[in-house]
Amino acid sequence: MSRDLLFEIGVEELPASYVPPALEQLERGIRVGLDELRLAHGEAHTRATPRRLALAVEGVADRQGDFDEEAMGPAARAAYDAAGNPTKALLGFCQSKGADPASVRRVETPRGEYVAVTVHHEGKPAADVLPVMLARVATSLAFPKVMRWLDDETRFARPVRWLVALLGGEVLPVRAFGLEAGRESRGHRFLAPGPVPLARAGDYLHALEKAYVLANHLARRERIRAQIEKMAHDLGGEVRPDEELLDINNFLVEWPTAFAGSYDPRFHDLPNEVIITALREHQSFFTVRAPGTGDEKLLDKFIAVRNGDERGLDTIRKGNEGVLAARLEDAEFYWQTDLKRPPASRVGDLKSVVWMEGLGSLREKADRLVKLGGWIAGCLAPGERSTVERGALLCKTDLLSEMIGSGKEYASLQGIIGGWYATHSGEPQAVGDAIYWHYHPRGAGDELPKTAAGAILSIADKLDHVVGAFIAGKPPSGSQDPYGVRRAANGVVRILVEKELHLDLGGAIGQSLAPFTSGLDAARRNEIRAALDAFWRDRVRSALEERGVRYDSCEAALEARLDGDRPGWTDPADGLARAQVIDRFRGDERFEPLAILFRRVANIVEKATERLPGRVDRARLVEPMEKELADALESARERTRPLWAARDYDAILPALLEMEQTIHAFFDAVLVNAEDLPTRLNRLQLVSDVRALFVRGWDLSKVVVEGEKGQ
Amino acid sequence: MSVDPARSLQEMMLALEAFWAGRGCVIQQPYPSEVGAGTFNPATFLRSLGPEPWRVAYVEPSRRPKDGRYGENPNRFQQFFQYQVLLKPSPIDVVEQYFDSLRALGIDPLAHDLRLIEDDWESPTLGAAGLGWQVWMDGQEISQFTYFQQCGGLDLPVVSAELTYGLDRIGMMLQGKDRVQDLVWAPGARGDDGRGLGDAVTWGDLWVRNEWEWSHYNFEQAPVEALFEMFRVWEGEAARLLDLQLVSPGYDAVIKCSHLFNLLDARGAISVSERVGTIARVRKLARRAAQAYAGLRRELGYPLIKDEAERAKWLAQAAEADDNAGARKKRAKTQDAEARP
Repeated sequence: MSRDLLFEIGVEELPASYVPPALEQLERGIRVGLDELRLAHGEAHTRATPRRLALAVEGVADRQGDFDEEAMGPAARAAYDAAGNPTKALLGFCQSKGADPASVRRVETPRGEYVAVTVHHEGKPAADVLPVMLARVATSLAFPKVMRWLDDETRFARPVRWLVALLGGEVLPVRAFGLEAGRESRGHRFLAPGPVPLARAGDYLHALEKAYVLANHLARRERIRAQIEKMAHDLGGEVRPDEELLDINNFLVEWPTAFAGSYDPRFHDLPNEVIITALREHQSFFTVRAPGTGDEKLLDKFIAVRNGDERGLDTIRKGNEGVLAARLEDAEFYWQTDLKRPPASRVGDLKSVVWMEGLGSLREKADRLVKLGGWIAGCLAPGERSTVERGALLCKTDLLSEMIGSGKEYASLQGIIGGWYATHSGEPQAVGDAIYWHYHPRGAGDELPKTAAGAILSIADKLDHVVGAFIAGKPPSGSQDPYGVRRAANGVVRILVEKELHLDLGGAIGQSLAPFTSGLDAARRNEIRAALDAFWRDRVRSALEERGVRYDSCEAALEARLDGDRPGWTDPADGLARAQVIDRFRGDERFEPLAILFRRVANIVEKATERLPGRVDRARLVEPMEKELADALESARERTRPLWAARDYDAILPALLEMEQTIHAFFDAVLVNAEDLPTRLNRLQLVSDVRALFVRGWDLSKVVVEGEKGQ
Repeated sequence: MSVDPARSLQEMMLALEAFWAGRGCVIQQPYPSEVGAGTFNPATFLRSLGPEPWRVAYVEPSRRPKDGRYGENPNRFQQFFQYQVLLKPSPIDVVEQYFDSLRALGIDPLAHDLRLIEDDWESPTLGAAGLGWQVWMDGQEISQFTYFQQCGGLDLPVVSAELTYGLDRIGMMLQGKDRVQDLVWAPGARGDDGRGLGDAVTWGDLWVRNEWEWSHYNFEQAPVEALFEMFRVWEGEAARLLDLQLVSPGYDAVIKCSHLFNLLDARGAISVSERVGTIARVRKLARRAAQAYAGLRRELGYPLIKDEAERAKWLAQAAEADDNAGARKKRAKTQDAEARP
């Protein structure tokens, strides 16, 4: 027999962003809890509103499953005395397990002979074991911030005010948060303030819907979506898509009713980004756009979702319009005030703003960005150099503006608004664009800079940020990343990879570190450089793996020695291409034998203690196979020479694989470590040259071969 | 004439006083010194400390020099009126009580959109922090609702709920006014014989000139050097008075420091880098005031706890905490002594 389980935690209004992670924990906690209790069960469904977190589990078994425990006792020789009678140790063991000494068996184990008993555990009724488990799961939910509301140590995101726990129609007496669970839920705060008694667990959704609570958050979300889309359509526009905003609205209401409002079209003189931010960040309103224009053309409308029914909508609309108008007036005031101060005139004021603790002012940061940005432009796009340098000098001035400095709700527009201000003050459009984009991408899903100078400035800004955190002694560790350094580095790698920019990342790290090293001794400098290299390499690796590259292909690509003897990770875009080629050639029959062989080659080359001559002396090649290898190497070099420059790795790898037979034949026929020293060194040089050609793209010794049996 | 909160601001205040008096609150009065919010009033800041129960409600005229707009802006002014309620311990139905108080103001929750929007409240100057909400009515923030977790840097053994109403804003919504200047403050009255006993008086009648003058003072005339000097003087006084266990005068000096900081800030005299440090100086004093007050109430034997057993329990707990702290100190001292040759 089985019954449905319902567990609801009734709480004062939760922060919207807390709800989804809490639901995941609740579901996982209870599912694991049921499994540990050996209670068979069907599907689990989470339910949530701002005032409740709930889980409904179908068909939970009425009793725990019985089970037999194999309990190991003492060693056999300690279990019986010389006369073969049970010792105290054995009797004690039997007593602790409730077993008859006569039922003891002897078992062979790798550690010798032991005694064991089979203990039969009879399952208990589910109703007896569930309350403790449910209380434990409820009290161990984790939130970004928790609070106390009683004069004890009870903590939760907001005060818990009721609990419902039902197994079928039976109340489970869960005790937690100073409460005992019952069968009474609560309806909408204002539309149905009374208790909502539930006869059975399965009545939950239906009973709450009658009390103006749509507890199924997935269905509620779709209802909101349908309402706002229809409303936008009726206004002759479309909703600006924003799933995150939909989620926020969804977890602010129990009974959603959408309504539309307007604002004065004169505010369209402001950048659309400002209007969208005013609507979204503070009021959680949806923006309405002219269909098919992206964010280019906005209608002077917004759509909001209230928590309630149709009553009073005119009053509510008027109130919301008033608030929005005040916010837009603030933005307009900031905008007009800021336009009177060209960014160029604020550069000196950057001195007054501290950047990172103890690391100088934004003015100094601007100087560093000019240099670093200029250096990067020199590498990637010399034509952009002056644009980047000008953008670098101005890009932080918007932090001093009213819009960013005073209007907290517009802080997310940093950079973007700076770009607008620069262009309005007569800076070239390209400079404005570089500033506009220089914080992008601000997170994993964010847009990349759309201009070359913007991308370069963004890279420079983030490199400087990462170095700063390391110098300040705040590098990321474990889950701690106080300065968002990983996010910054991931942004750089994404730009390089997705825009296929072949920047020497190692060189750039060196450039970014240089301004900070004057006060450091050499040991500390080397220590920080090594930490930075390891950090950046790890970011590159993680970016490649996120793009589906096997971890060992990734290692092979990152451990390459690029032209100029740079580590393979210092060119992320190139690294990705090389790693993907390995994944494509794994099926080639020549590939795995070569990978295995290369570990040998690497060993031999690395073990050689003598100084190699530097180049192979063809006159010293005597064995036919070594001559053949030297020829094959020469021809592979010739054939691949133009391909390396074109980064045509899909052609390079097969060209190198051509040598597979010859290399194997060489190792079969020729003794590398010949007794004669010059011969040995010459052969080592040959082997090393072969390796070097491969290592320019891949260190194949890092490749793990499936089913490989030792070496 | 019956009280109609939608008619005038003073009737709103009367309705709230009646409502909270009916729920056991002491109706206190504004603090006679410049404060930035009702939280600074000792009836909240000091009384929220320690285990003693406390329920209080009062109007607090609050000064935010930086927010002044010379009386011209319809929504921003350097003096605004808060209604402050502190309920300690926080009742189990405190949210429902709050919404009932809105009903007492004539606000029908079914005809409006009332929401609790998360807000982690913090006062860096007071070393106070709590979790709760901004209350929104039709998109407008009308109240702050906070469960105090910390005050003066001390963890609070008993959690208070602090409810703060933005009277000016709620009044504008109730009276349907777009400009604060048009808000009716007093409705005027007529005698039984129909004779006028006084005309209606608006917010503008009372405060526009005041806003203009104070905005001039705050932004243009406040003497920076003298204010810095006063800050130093009151900072010294706070420390001196708190050393003497004169908690109320000492805390009063802390309030003065905080207001002086706000004035200097409005004058643009405090650079970004000095800002954090100056706030920390005030916070340090607030913390000392909190510690002094908590110690004082304990010495007095927590007189507001009327239940003897409860009183004994809290006093015993405080003694135990002392013992633990003492033992820690002693251990540290012994280790220190052992570490010495």
